[in-house]
Amino acid sequence: MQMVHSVVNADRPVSVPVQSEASDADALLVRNAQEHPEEFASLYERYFEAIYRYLQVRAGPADAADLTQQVFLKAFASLPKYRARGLPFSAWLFRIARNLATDHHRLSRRTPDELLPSVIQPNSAASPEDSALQTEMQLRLRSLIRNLDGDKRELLAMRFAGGLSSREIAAVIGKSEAAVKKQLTRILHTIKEKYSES
Amino acid sequence: VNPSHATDIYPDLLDDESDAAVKGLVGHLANIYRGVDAPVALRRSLEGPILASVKARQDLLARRKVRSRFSVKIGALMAAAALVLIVGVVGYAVAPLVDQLLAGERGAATLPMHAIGQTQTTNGITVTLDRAYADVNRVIVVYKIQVPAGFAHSTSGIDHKIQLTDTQGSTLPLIDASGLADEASHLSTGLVTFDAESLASGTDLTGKLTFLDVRARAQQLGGRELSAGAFTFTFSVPVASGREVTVSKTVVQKGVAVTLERVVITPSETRAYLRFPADAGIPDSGWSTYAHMSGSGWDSRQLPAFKGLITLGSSFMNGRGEHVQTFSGDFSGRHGEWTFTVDALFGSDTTVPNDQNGLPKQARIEGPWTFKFSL
Repeated sequence: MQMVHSVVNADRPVSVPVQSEASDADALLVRNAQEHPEEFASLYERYFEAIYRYLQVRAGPADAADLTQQVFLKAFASLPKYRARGLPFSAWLFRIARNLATDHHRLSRRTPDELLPSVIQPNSAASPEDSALQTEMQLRLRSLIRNLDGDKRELLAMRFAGGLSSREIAAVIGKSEAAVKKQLTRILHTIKEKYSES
Repeated sequence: VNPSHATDIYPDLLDDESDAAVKGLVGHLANIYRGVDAPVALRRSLEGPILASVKARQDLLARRKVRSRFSVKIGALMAAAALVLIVGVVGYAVAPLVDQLLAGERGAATLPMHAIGQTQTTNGITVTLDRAYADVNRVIVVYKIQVPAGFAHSTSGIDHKIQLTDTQGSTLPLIDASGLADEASHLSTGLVTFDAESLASGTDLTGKLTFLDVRARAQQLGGRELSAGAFTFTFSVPVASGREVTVSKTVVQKGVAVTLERVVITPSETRAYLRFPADAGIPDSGWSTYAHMSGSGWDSRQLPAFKGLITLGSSFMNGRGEHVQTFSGDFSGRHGEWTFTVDALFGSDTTVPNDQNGLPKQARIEGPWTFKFSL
């Protein structure tokens, strides 16, 4: 049986971006979980779907569940040391997920980090024509997303699969909110132009 | 997501958007990215380890309340028990403890460590100063503690129980510590890092490393604790020189002048020394930097982060009032033109009470402040 721990000198704070506002709800849930560990379940309930969806895009369905488990175990272990300091809990959690996904690709080297959404089955109630259209639309969008740079695909994954706001994404990647919004807007317009052309 | 509702769900993207096609696109993107739900089995699979971790921490908190004088020992045990779950999930390879430990500290595995191999035994507990490394940024020591059968030792909390002093008696500030323990072999090993800014390159560090209070807990419930007291080792290692670049450039953005004084690159870490008169009602010492470095074909942000912690370095203020931004890992092989970018300055005032949300007073000034220099 092995044990591991790590401590960091408080005089050398971890470099994190700071936001002027934080989620009141998260702050309360985090404080509760720090004082009463069983309350961690509330944070888990709140975020596990979003983390899974993000990791599903990053690592594929086969590994997303395992990675999601690792994210929350790491978060739980580190929660006593977590201090908001302007870094929202959601951004902190997604940083863990993002790094785990990066490590996963670096270590496994099994699949490329495509950062693409899965093709989902059309609504079963849809007509055959509608189903075909839905599938075609998905494939076209996937094709357009595939042509974007990795950084841009990651922004889309965080915004749409992870459900992070531009402000939260900014905290995850260390950019300003304005820069993230600007980049997302550009990406959307680029895809729209090509989507219209095709 | 119905495209007609997209504006309500994605206000940050669509509040200022008048193009209906973009709104429709956002709806479509939401549908394909959010079309897959997490499997039910995922929730069930998390129940076991999460609940076990919760139980361990509840026990820890309960015992702290009842017997606070034992909080360190019990806390170490319970925290370790919780973390065992993570070790199991991550799947540590079976390798010597020291190797595992070095692999976990970014860049440490490739540092030219010097074998020390000094051993002392008291009351059945053997402490070994295994190896050490020093450069002008960091001193790193690796130790092992062997306790008798029936006992276990945890390195948790060692940061309060270990000191390194130089020949002048000056104490080197501790930066961080990590450790691993194997209860089956009653062996634990630890890696401790100290700030070496006060050391001069090209000299030898003669250091006195003191373990202030070494104890082992009984593995059997209710068994007596084994105490071995203090251990002191005197050792000597060369202080590896680094490359120091004097930059002395000032860049002004948003009315804030940031000066990059110098950069010190050593195998253990790279440090950038900065000065800036940020204020916003927050003391100078409360300000830190968010920065990165890049060069031809490399970028500090793309390097894998230290496993388990999501940072590439740290930011602190030294005794001369300089803001120091550190980057973990070995950048000493990078040559040519370097670009050092301060992306933002952020201040956090811990000298005043937190606000009603439990957050400290904060401020942020966006950059970038960009500096170029050659190595």
